[in-house]
Parts: sequence; structure tokens; C-alpha cells
Amino acid sequence: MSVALIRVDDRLVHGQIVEAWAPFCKATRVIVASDAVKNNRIQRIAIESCSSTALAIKVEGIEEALRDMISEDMNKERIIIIFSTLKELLQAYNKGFIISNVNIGNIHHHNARQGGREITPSVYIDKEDEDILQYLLKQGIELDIRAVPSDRPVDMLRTGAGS
Amino acid sequence: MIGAIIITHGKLAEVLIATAEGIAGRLENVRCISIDPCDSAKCISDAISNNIKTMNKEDGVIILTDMFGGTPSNIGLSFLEPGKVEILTGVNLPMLLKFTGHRTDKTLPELAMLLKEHGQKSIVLASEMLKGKV
Repeated sequence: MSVALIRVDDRLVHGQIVEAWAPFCKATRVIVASDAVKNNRIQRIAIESCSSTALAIKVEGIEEALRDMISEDMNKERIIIIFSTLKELLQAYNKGFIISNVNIGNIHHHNARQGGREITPSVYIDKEDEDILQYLLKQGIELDIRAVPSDRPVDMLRTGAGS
Repeated sequence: MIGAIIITHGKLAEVLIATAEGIAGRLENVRCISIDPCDSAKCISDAISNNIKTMNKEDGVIILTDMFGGTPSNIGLSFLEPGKVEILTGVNLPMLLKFTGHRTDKTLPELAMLLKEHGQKSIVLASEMLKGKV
């Protein structure tokens, strides 16, 4: 399968994905890789019902997404894979998910607005996120921190998050 | 009187209500939630739940969101309680004005269906409508 984009986005499939990233990546399929969402019936139905003839949208458990990643059936697809959190992305990476570049779009914490350290208007990271991001960088994975393709990517180190 | 919560990206909800009030007069029991990039899902969900708790919901509440598949709609969907809380996506000004005219004389399911149809019918392509007439 051809992975067009791997993204961390706690809003999952929403306007930025369908209207901005999918056309930009010429994606044919979006996979939300999350065990929690897979098990939440209403959330799963709501997400999958946003499918269109041009863009299939599916919610899969992390193991299932891993299987799809190496499946020949997916060879003709251009896929956007969405993880809800950095923690889940790391889980998938540790299970063998191949990641060379990851787009960080939406990360929020706590009940209040603006919990955690602000990296962009829609990315707030706590200590655990920061450790994961540093770990990913050490693995040679490129971080592309921006909400939509037309945004300028933010350099995490320059925001002071890496100190 | 059926209540409404309008949930949109940015300030669309606020402005939509202010605009509808300019045309139809003050809207009672109508709340708005504007969603910004910095809002967590939990924060949005709490705002909806607090609004539902504190408003008059004797005749039911309709949640109007800006776009099916967008965050306001995705989070709003979990509040669906058929007959008590309905969710309608793609809110527009004609829909909101129709709401003000029929919120006291219809049941919640009737009003929700009426608004859906009216919102769709209010979208007109002028060249198509006028074809052969001008």
C-alpha cells in the first residue's frame, strides 16, 4: 500500500482532512488507526459515514491497520493514516509500523483550553508527548508540525519544546 | 419552546445568531458554541453538556452544526437522544429563520425534519432556476 500521509490528530477525520489533506495528497482512503475508536460504535459510524465515492474512510484497530499496510489489496490505494495520540502512534511504531515522516496536526490535553505547552494553535504537548517526539526524532523520523498543507511547518526545537 | 445550540468552527455561530436576530428579533433559549483550534474534544463536549443542562429543554433541543464530518458535528453527534436532542448539520440562515417561526408550534422531530428540508430547498442555483425564463 502506498501511505500518502501519517498524521496525529485527536479530532480524527474532520474538515482539515477531507477538504485539505486528502486533495493535497491525492488520497483515495483514510484509515483511523485506533482501538478505542474502533470499539466506540457511534463514533465509528459517524466517521465512516463521511466516506464518499472518491474517498473511503475506515476505522481500524492498530493491528488491523498494520495488516492493511502490508496487504496487496491496498497496493492501488493512496492512504492517509490517522492516529488519535502520539502514544498510539508510538505503539504502532513499536509493533512494526514503518514511519519515515509524521504530520502532527491536532493534540490537546486536559479539560481546559490550552493545556500543555503550545507548539501551534492546535498542538499542545505535555511531558510525555515531548519525550515521544524526541524519541521519534532520534529514530530519524521527520516531524511535520502543521494543521493544513498551506501552513508553514513549525520547527519544534525552535519553539523551545526540545530543551 | 424548542431550544437550539449552534456549534460551528470559529465565530460563525455567534454571527449567524446575531444576523438572524437582526432579521427576526431576539432569539430566546438559543445558545452558541464557537470552536477554536486550541479547544480539546473534552472541552467542546463539556460546553455542549453544560449548555444542555442549563437551558430550557422541556420541548427538546436541536443542535445545529456547520458541516457534516466537521469537529462540531462529530462531537455533537454523541448527544443525540431521538425525540429529546436532535442534531442537524449544515446550518444556514434560512434554516435558522425557519426555526424561529416554528419552534413553538411543532414537535422536535417535526421541526428537525422541516429545517432539514427547508435548509436544502433554500439553496438555489440562479442560472438553473431562471433557465428558459429570461
